[in-house]
Amino acid sequence: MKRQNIRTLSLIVCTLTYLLVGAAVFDALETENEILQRKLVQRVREKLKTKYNMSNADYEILEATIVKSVPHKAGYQWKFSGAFYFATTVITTIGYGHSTPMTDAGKVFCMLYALAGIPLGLIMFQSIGERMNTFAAKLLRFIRRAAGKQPIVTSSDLIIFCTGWGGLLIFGGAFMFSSYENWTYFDAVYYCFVTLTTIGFGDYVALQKRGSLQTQPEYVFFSLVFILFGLTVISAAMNLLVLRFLTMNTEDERRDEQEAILAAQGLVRVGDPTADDDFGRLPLSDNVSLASCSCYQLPDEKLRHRHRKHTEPHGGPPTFSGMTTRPKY
Amino acid sequence: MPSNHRLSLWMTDDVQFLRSDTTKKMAITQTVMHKLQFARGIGQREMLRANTLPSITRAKVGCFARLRIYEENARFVLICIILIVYLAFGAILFHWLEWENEVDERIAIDNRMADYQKVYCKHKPLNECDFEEMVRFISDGATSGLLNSRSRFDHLGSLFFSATVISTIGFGTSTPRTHLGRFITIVYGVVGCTCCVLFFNLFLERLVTGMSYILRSLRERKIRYRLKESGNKPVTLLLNNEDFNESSSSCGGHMDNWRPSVYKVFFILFSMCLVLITASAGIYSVVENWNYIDSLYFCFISFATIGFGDYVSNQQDVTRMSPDLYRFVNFCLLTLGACFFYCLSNVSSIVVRQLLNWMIKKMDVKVEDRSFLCFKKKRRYMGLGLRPPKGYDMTSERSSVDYADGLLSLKEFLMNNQSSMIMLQKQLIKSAMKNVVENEEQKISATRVGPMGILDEAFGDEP
Repeated sequence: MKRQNIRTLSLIVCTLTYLLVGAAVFDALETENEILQRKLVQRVREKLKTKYNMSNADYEILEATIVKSVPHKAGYQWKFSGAFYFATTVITTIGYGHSTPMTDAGKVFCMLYALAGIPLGLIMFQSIGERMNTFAAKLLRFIRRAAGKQPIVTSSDLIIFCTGWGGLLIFGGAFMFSSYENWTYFDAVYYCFVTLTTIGFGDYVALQKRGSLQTQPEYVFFSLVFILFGLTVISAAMNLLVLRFLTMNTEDERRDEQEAILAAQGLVRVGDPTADDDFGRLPLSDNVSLASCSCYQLPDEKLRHRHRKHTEPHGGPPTFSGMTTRPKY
Repeated sequence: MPSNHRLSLWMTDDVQFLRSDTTKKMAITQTVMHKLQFARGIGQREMLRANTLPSITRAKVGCFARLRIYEENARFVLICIILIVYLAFGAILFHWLEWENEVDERIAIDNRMADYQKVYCKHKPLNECDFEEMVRFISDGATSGLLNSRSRFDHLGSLFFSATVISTIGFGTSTPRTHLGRFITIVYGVVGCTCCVLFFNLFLERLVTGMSYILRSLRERKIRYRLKESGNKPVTLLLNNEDFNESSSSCGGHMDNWRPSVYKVFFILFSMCLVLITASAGIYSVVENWNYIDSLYFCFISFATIGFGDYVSNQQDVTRMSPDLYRFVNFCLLTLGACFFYCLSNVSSIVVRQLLNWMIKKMDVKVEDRSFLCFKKKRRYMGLGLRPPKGYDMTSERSSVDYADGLLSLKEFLMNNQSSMIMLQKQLIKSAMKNVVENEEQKISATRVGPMGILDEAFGDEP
């Protein structure tokens, strides 16, 4: 238990250090540009006030009105396609902010909708990622067997496979978005990355120009499919990236439990480390005893490295019970 | 001859026992297991009579198993359908809630803009009026966040931006404007999001482990109290306890198999998240002068890492708290809320998955007539001493094994027995040497990846 806690605390320290380093880098990169932009805004603001002979209060009201009119320039946001797009960004936790509910009823329903929708989205992404990882493992094993190597697929191979697919998806999708939205290719790559990692800044949002939500249904369909499929691939790759660290933690905990059990009872337990292995093992070769009086329970009650003591009465013929005598050391 | 007949009937029971191992993830296994337990509990003479009952010797297999639809694939298809229906439902409701408000706001804003344009362009020709240019300029300023009087990329602003990147909240009030800034955001985000997902998963693991420990302690205390109350009475073993996901034994020495109920953990987590979000909303409504519903809305959107950006904390000067203290409180609240909401979402996913498994069981209709719906009845090659053809894969029909066909031959029966004994001896030697090292490289299983793996370890696999 101590090793897991040390690992968790070290990860907290690393994350905070990473935050500070990132803050310093972004501070160095963006501060100068921001100062220049802000001076430009001030200069243009003063010129506009002079030209139209506006007071400060009038200009503030005009500015607030223009800020509020930004979502409406992109077409109607709350027709079915726009509402579907908004619902997608809610349950995937992207959250661009291009359209947000204004009424109190909309806000309350948004909370309830996300509370039920986010677990539903998580279980879908996990399920698709599971199928995708299984398919990738089978494909890689087939390729290895065809190439004459041993058909053993490691987590590193799956990580490379999923990361490659994720990268291909980002750069391919960026090409489509740059052609439809008239962005530069780099900005489209930036948009795809911000979307598929569910950061969702909202400085670039698809489907917001020339009323695309109503006039280009095939582009709306492509965007939604891209978001859902891309999130699946990226989350599968990200889950594989954290696999090794977590299995270290879980394995340490399992080893601690096993050592505690052995120390407490002074027995050596017969384990079954391949109970969950579905790759390449015949089911009939599992540890299935013949006698009804055995060290193991029924296979569905068999837990990994944990065994219940035998408490059932003898029901079988006595000639078989000698084969599975409980070992003592 | 009678002795041989008795042995043959006894092997019938073990054929069921062998077959139930090959389809351990099927819904039918529970029924077979209960019947086998029932059969084993009686004496030998009654067992011979029980083995002749048709309900034991001919276990029913559901439609999905015969059509070779695995449970994972059925769950995947079902969750896709449910999610699409849920999205459509949300679209309809959001359209109904927000459409009227949008139309009214659009008309009001258009009228106001027309009035402004009429006022400011009344003495100029239409070609010389640059009102539209001014509107576009202010719109771009609003989108990029430059209209705000607060600086965005000073030291604390950059820290805030970095935190929103790696936690994937992404309010959007501050975004990188230079190309190099955007490129560094991509590189920084790849590493940072992965580390943050790892941090959330470790938090989930520690929290669920702590919760299991507390629940186990409470249960042991309850059992000890029950034993003390019962005095010297013998304690019966509740082998068929109906408590879902609870211990199947009431003795204290068998707590090793105990696992916490996923519903109890879900309820505890939901209560903690509710307390956290209401308290945070109270703090934000006081400090930021927001409405309480708006504060609750902001807390939910931030903790769930959606991050719309219509309400963002720490964007205006606060007067009721020290600014430095408020920044620290803001950071702690957002971090703690995101961690707990991540745990709640994943535990809710386990509940959703169990609901899906229950629906799959209900839809797995058992039919007697095999010639109509489940038309793919395959012949078995393992019965009556027949050898399977070359290249025949035993694992390919995990879900479509028929129980009602024939028997294993005595020869192959003993061969499987010998293989099982060899496996048992190997495990004994390994455990005796205490050098059991699991080769994690060859145990890639998709269900052990990510938060699902953590929660499966904690709550156990469901049939």
